Amino acid sequence: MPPPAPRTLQPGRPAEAPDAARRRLSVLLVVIGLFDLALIVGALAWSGGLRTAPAEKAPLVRLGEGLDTGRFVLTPRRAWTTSRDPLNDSEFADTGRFLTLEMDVRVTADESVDSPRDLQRGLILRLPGGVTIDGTSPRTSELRHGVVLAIDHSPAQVHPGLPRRVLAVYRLPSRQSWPHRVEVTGMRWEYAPGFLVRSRAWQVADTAVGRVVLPVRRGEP
Amino acid sequence: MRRLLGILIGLLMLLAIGTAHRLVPDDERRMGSITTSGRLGERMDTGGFTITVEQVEVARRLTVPGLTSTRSLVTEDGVWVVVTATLVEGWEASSYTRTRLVARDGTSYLASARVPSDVQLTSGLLAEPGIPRRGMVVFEIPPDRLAGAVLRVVRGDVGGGRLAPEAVIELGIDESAARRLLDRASTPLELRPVDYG
Repeated sequence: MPPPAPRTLQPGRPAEAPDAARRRLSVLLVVIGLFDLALIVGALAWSGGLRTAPAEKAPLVRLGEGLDTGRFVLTPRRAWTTSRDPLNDSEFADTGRFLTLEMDVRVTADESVDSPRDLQRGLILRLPGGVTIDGTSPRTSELRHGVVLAIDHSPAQVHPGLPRRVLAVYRLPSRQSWPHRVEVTGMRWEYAPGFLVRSRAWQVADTAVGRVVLPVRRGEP
Repeated sequence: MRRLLGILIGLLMLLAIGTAHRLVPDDERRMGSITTSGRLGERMDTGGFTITVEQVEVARRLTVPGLTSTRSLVTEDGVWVVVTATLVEGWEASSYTRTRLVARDGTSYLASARVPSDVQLTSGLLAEPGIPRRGMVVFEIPPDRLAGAVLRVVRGDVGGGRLAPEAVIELGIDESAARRLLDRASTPLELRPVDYG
């Protein structure tokens, strides 16, 4: 078998030089691309473009009036804080800062509200000091501790025609001091197709239906 | 003339396309559950599971026997509707957590979460194929929604169950039957755990 034909050589350059140059160019392009991306993201973050858009300022309603969300009417009644988990009455209950929001719920849709979490998903809580607990944000899922029926602390499933008083419990972040007031904003629910799944389901819309300000007392009333 | 005919055919084709597009069934019709209808006392085979609803009772107070004590569940403004049924799963372990009672006006009630899942036929453990489970399904509803109520048992969890088998069971509660059931509602009803086999 004859030996393979030698590749063209350039003076002072190895045979793989064109490949190496191409590789270097690719790396350079990727670096420039990443640098540009970082620059754009940095500029967006600096200008506030990555922050959650503030919810529309909803009309302020008086304490005791209901927030009609289109799926249920929520009437916040009282709020208080405790240093032990109110959903666990055993000696093993977690300690920390817990906020309980007592509300009346009346379902206006034609089906049961099965998931207690739905009662918190459509609410935005604003506390003094700037802490906001947005029910639709996955980052607040650990703060939304649960909702139970006030009567027996069973999961807050609410049915049409049977209004119920519920306790929505929030675990406050460590940076939040004991609050003396809380602003509760109710968001509209709509029965609509999802982004990926075309079948209709209840979803929280971007529209706020109303907000109410409650005093927060320290300790369970 | 030929050009006019071409335009006319084009317009007709556009009209046909538009009509065909409108006739496409929506996602809920295409992917909804596959229902089988029956009535109280009848053994119904949905193709995925069989179910026989044996009786319907109504009470304002339920007693739930526990290991150490008996608990009482009271509804002030509603009534408990307790449906006793036997369910046999067809071919795969399945849950039935979307079981609901549908009132005459279409309002839909899920089985009550106040009742422990071990006494509810359609909550808690999965139904295993071929093993009959006899138990109760408990709903909390306003008394005026009782007459004409229909039980709908569908395989699958909330959010799932596309093209799932579903049994629609007429419970035979007309106005007079509803009145009779409500008259007896003051008698407490004891719930029993789900039986197997």
